[in-house]
Amino acid sequence: MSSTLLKTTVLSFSQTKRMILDAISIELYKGELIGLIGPNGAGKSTLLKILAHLLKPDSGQVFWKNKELSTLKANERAKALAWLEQNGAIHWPLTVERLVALGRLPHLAAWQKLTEADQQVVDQVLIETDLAALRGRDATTLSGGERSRVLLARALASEPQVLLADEPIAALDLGHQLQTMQLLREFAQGERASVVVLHDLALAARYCDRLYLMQHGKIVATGKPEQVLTPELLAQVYGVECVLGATPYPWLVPVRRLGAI
Amino acid sequence: MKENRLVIALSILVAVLFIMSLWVGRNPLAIWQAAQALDSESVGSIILMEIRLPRALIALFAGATLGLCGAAMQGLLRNPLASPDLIGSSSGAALCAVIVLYFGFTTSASLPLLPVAGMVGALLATLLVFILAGRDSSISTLILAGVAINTLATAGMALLLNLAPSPYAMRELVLWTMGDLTDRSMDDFYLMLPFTVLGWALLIGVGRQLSALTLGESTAQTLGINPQRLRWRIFLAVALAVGATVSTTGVIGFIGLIIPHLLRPWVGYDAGRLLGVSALGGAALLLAADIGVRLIPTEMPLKVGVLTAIVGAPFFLHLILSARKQHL
Repeated sequence: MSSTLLKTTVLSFSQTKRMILDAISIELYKGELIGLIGPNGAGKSTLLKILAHLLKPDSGQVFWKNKELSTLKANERAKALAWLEQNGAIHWPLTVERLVALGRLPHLAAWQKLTEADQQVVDQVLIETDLAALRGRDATTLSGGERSRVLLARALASEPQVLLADEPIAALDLGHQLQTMQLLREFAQGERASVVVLHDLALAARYCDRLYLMQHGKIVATGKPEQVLTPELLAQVYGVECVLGATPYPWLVPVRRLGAI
Repeated sequence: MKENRLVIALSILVAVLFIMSLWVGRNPLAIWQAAQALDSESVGSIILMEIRLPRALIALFAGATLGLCGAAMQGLLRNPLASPDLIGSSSGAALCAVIVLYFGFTTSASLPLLPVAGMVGALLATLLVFILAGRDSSISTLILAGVAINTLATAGMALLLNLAPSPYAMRELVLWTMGDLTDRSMDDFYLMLPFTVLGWALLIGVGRQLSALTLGESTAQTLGINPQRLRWRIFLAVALAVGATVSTTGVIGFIGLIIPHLLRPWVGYDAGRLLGVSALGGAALLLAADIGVRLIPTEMPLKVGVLTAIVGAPFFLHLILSARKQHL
């Protein structure tokens, strides 16, 4: 049995004549937490949307295990992959619990209501994401950080095999950044895996198994964090001089912009 | 469960109002006696079967359609101000119904032209508003587009009726824009029934998809929903049901706006679970309003659409104000 969950052939994608993804490919194995890093506009979110089957690449295909992703039934795909939108919307003032329970939709047969087992999943996820106390709150009145945790909980409640998360820690305080990274780390074990877009390179280095460093729609470097996060590559891609270290945990200090006066 | 109790309470309310609607009128009617002597030629049974019953049935089905379609559109557009009358579906239907009625196309009795015209009008108007405002549009854009289409349709109706050969045409205009349930026959009811029910049937099973849309179209798509197919399905359902209804009753405003809004907190703001209760609520409101116009002692009989507008317009203002408070 192959341990590959998601795999792409060479992908390209352009929008209004601008090349957004330029001949890139990516592979995700079971038990992996992959970080997609790179400056704004590098194409990370677009790549994630293609993996989530939300965008169709101009050329190239996405494979789920051995099948082409587009040949899966919508419901099968929904159970296999969850996508966590950056600044996802909450359109009606549902309670936190009901909103998280929306994640169970792919598991319900037509007309079936939430079963005891579904409710247990929701309860479990609410505890893991530190939201049990907020379960009765109106989800539209939450703070930005609480809101992104609720949406993460929704994605986890879908019990996908692969979680595709677009900047899940962008709005979070330090404690909840760590908590979310730990949740993702625990999630990406055994049969499951996750691809996460991150801007915090130190946390990416600490929690991810592999990184893909992107720039201008291309993958510049890939490999273990220590192979990708080098002063040379960071200078080249971000245009920033950085000081890095690994003890006691990976750290990174951006010193100054190169080329700026 | 709170929702089950709500469904039961609304069902009882609808049943009671339906019976009241058979009973209340200029001539109080002993329903049971009239019903027992149905095959006889008694005045009571004729009033019951040929005046009261079609009126009550049309109120029941039209009200349910307006409530249901209001809830479906609000869920689809994720906007509490969407409803068939505000975004132009109803006035589009009325315009096409007027075209057919006053220019003599109804003479070919083999085709149910009137409801078909209503449906075509409703679909065209809905599509136009959707094209003008776009999805995920702000409340103000949607309303502006709706106002534009409504004005256009009403102006079209006024123009046609001005040119129409009938001397009563201007009076008829009021009827079409203000909605009315008097003097309808069972034939009218049978004409609207199949299309209305077909529209409802199209909405069976969309509840869960509307719930998923709470998370936005993209996330809903990753939950296994096809937003594009859902949109067409709802547009078609609304066009069928509202088109057939409006070509029977004229435009009855605000029911599709008020009912989903009032009932939403009762179903935990779940757009899917709102559908069924909104149908019941819409039926109850229109039945009640139609009983109201019979009970309110006015010189001329009041039109039911006038009553819903008088109650509904202030409510609409209140909605706009509270929406503004939330977004500014």
